[in-house]
Amino acid sequence: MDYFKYCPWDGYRFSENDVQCFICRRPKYQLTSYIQEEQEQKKWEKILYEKQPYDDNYIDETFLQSVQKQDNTNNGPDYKQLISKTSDLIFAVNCVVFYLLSYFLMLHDMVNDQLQLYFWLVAAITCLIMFSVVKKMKTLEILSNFKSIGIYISILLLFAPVMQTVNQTYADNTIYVLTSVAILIYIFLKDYDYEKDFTELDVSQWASLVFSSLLASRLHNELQVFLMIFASNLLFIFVPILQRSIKQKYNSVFRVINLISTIGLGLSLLFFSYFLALLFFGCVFFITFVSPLQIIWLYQYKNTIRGPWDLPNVKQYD
Amino acid sequence: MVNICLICDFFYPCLGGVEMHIFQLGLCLIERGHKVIVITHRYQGRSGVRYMTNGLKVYYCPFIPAIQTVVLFTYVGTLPIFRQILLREEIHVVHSHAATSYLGGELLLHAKSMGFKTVFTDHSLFAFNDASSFHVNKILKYILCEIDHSISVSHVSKENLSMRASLDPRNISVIPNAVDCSRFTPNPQKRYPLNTINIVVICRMTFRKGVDLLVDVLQIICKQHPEVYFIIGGDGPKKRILEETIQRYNLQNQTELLGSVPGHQVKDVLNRGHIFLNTSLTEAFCIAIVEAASCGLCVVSTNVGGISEVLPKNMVLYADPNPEDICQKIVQAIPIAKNFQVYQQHELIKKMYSWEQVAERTEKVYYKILQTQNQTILKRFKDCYSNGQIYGLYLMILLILDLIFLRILDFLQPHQTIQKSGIFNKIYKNQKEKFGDHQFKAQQQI
Repeated sequence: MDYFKYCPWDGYRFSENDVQCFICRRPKYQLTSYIQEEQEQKKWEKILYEKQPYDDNYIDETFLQSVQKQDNTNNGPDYKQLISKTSDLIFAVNCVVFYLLSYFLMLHDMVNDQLQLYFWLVAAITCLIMFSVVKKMKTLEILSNFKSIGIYISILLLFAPVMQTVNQTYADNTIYVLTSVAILIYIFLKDYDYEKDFTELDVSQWASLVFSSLLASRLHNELQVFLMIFASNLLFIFVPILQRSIKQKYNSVFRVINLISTIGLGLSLLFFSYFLALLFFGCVFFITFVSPLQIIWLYQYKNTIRGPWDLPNVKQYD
Repeated sequence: MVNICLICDFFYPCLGGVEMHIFQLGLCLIERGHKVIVITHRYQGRSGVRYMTNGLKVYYCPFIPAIQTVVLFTYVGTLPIFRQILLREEIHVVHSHAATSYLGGELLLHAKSMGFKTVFTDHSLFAFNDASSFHVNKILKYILCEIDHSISVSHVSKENLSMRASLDPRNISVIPNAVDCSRFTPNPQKRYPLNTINIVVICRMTFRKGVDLLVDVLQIICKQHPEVYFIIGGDGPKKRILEETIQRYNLQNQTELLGSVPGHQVKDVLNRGHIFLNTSLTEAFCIAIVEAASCGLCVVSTNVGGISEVLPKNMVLYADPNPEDICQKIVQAIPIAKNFQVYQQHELIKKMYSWEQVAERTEKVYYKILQTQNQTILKRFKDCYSNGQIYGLYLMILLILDLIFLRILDFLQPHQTIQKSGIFNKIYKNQKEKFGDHQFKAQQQI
């Protein structure tokens, strides 16, 4: 007695021992209950240009044979690969924590403003030099970039008083709630693939501009406001571009930088609060080692059905 | 005689495969003695009741399209007017077309509540792994869970529909599209330019129609075969890429971009070619290749979706959807195209596809469902609940609302008080010449 090879409702492939569909629980029907008697009839063909001696709702045994169901139980993602992929997320978290740390130092005047200014300028110049080296830029291009940064700093200095006062009337609670939301948007909507070249700001980068301008309104002077926004643009817009370039050519260098920055940040948090340091290390551990395990576990439930209706992979022109 | 209501968001003055299908099916069903009306939403300059060629009555209902030419799914918003039309026209069967037409979906649900028989025809293929398809499939499953019968335009489409909407495949019939072969006749004398192999491409310039593949094919073929001349018609977002490619590789002498081609000029463009190239990435049933074959062209097409079911292998060269294989098949087609039996092919296509056959087979579906019993309320609730525990509950509430609204409308305007419309068929059959020119002249541009 012949039975259906695939469930007609969801494409589940029946094994010999199955009596019902694993997914929809419908029974495994006999082909004879569906297929018409083929008494002296021409064999059915999957064609439209010829009227065949079968009803229009006829179901052949080849029904759904073109459907391919991907078995995900053995083809799950590799744990090591997943761990290496989490490095991008860790780096983004590091940037945010580092930014908040410098904000905290400024807010409580724990570090001299001049020192902070020198630090961020040196950081910007270092990043630019690294970018020029990685991209193998010519001297003229490097000088042009320095010129652009000079213009950008001038504009930012002009706007610093505006940025300080624009959100000043809002309550502290409102500012910190909005900042938290914007940080979450930045983390969740950030483009971690880095497949496209930078052309314009995406949603996450706009979110970074929002939370930096919100936080800047709580600071004490215009220099601090300038530094906060400058640091935000450096960490959340320029550093990802640099990160992409380094990752493409020197992936191991990126991993080393990531590891050092994570340990350094965690240790520096120890000076402020043991709880925060513990939370940071716990978060890093969860993202790096636990979440890949969750993805592997969830992958067994991923139901991939492919058929002739799927679009083929074709190179697209923009 | 069956009173049939065809409904879809897509209808004249828009022109495409679905619109043409509804129009031709309606005409042929009228020819076979049935009463047919079409319901669609208003179009610019068209609102109210219109009679089209051969007395096809069209209700352009006053609903404003939300996105492109599709109205928003409001569920009960359309009920009063649909109830009026269905009762006034004494409809027996409601036949909706296209999965993305929510006007049709709404009427199917109301029609079941009012006790009419329902049929749905699917014209497109949808995948299971992208967000838009996921949502379309979810809504389609809800709309079709109570359907009496469904129709697919190809066998692949039947498999696709059965999985997307969780339908019993026994309740899906395969009735292909057709082509009016009298409008697509061969004329080798019109081939121009002379002493070249003319390859015709007519499609919307979109990703799904494989314009990215065409860009690659154009570069390779024009470089390897200087005798080849491309005639490309159609408009869309990807047209700019083609223009850029032609300029960058200096292909101006070997290509001709026609832009939008009005429907009634498609035949003239096809007649200029030896080979027709179709690079679609997905198709449930590709009417374009049947039209080209009817005009006597040698067809080269990507083998995707239900395309391989449409024409016999001696009429078409199937290629994998990659530029290398398409180029290889074009190279194979060049010597064949020069010695093609164009008139013989046209006669064969005429026998394969006709709208009369489509109407006859659709009519069988109508007669079949008219013999079946209507579903009980309890069965309808069960069907709704089968969509999921929370979603199913929500659908059950919608169904209850629909039934309550119907009772209110029945109370406010009992169906006995609704004036019945006259039957056009008898007058038309006696004096055919008086009504229209019996020719469908397409004004919409491709």
